[in-house]
Amino acid sequence: MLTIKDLYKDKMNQSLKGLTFQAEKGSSISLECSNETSALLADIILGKELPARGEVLIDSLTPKDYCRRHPGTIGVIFKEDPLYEKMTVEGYLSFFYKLFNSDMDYRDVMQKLALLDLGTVMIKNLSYSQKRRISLAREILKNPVLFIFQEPILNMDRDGARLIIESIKELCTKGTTFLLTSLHLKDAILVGDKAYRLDEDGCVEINNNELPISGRITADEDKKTYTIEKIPAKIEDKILLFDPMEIDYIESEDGFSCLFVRGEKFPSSLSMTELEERLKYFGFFRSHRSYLVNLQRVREVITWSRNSYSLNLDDKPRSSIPLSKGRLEELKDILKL
Amino acid sequence: MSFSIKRVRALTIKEFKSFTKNSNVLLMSLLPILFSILYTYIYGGKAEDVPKTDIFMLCLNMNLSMVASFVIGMLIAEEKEKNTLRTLLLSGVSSMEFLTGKVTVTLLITVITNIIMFFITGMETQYLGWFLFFSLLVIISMIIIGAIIGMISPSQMSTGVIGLPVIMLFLLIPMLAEYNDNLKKVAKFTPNYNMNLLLKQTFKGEALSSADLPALATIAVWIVLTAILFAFTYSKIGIDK
Repeated sequence: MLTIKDLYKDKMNQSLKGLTFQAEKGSSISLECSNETSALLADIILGKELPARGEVLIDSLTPKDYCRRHPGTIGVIFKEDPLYEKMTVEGYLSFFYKLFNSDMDYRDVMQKLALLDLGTVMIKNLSYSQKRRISLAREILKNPVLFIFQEPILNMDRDGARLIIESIKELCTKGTTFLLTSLHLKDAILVGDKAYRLDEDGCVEINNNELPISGRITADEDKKTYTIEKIPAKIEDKILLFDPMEIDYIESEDGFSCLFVRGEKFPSSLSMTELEERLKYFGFFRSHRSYLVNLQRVREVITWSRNSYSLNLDDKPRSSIPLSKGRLEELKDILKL
Repeated sequence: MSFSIKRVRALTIKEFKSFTKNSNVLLMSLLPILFSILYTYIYGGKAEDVPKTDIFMLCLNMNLSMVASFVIGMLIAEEKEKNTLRTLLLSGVSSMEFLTGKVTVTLLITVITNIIMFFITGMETQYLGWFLFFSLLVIISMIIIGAIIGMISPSQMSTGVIGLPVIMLFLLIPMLAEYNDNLKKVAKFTPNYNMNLLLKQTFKGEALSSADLPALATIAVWIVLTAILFAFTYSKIGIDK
């Protein structure tokens, strides 16, 4: 469906370097990248910018040809997606319904996204989460083949995020290909089937597969004596030592691990595996290949859909950490659920 | 490029709805009607001082230059400024369909305003047909100018900056032509002044003669000129820049 091969592009200090992936029909790809990079990538896929090197193919056509031959088949929701503020919700959706000549009933879509009771409300009086759902309702009416969605669940309330994730999964089963971009690795992992990180150094696939479990727990079984554990983090020329209990969670970024303490981020020189070894006696749990979470901080375990879960912490920014499917059982064991 | 009547209809209906809610544009298009009521009320009793034809002409020119060109410019610039145009274009709406929707609404608003003013100032109904015909010719070139302004200006505010000098040309020069011979020479090249001449003649009950051909020709040339300029701007800038 969407093939991007070795894509290079430089524009206004933003650069895409060596982006390569292939999205099949009905799959979803998520990218962790900056807003500007995401905007640049959207422009390339929509045929407004030409790639400097490499190729982008939609259904084996270049973006420009594809947009000319099949106008209005790419669904797009930008990070800031403007609506007609002075229209009512129903007026807005019925306008696009007529514009697309859609065969779907816009009331069904409104119901799916919990907008039915807002039909006569003016769009400018709605909350951010409701506006995002209206944007999504509009694009669902379009019945898109390819769907570019920037920041699908950033700043959304819980119910709104759940509705959006459900709708994305449903569209996927109907054959829509998704390209989701987000600033946060957490969001990217939660929403898409496959996740990539995209930054100045290029594009890295984030392994979303299960960790090999064998031998992880049995190692170092005889470590009985209580030794003082402090986790070092390096900032400029200082070395900070954190008490394990201070750490909320640890995220892996390009092979480096970052400690999150009271909402702040500190890079650590230890690898994820080393940290896991040292911290598992303190109640830390590897919830995902890229995340090590302090179970003392976990407040909620949320089920978004059958295959996606996350852990909500009670730390300062109320982070929510992805939990891979295979790790759920082990977590249940540890927590004696 | 695809062109679907269904989409244009949906766009036009949407424009009408948002037109009634956009106070900027609404006030702009009500202004000529307000003026026509005001003038008729002030001078109504003393027809000798200011003939009703003059009152009507004044309001008509105001309507043509301010409403016909400004409203479409503002409508186009508003969608650009708020970025809603991008959403429309990504929804398979072509630039031409988008412009057609705007043109239809502006055309209807201007013609309806014209008819309302025609009756407020109390012109004779028998001339309505000719009046609509002549004014329509000028409305066409005015709307095209407005569309060009809309394409050039990035926001609603800048429509005023870019549009005002252009519009004043069409409003002020014909108005002041009566008092200054030099201006009169210039005014002869504007479509509005020629329309005024034709209308004055019609309202006096005189039939068209071969002497009116230069006036009609000037109006026709303006339509062609603005259309060429429009095509040039459209291909160079387009609507989404």
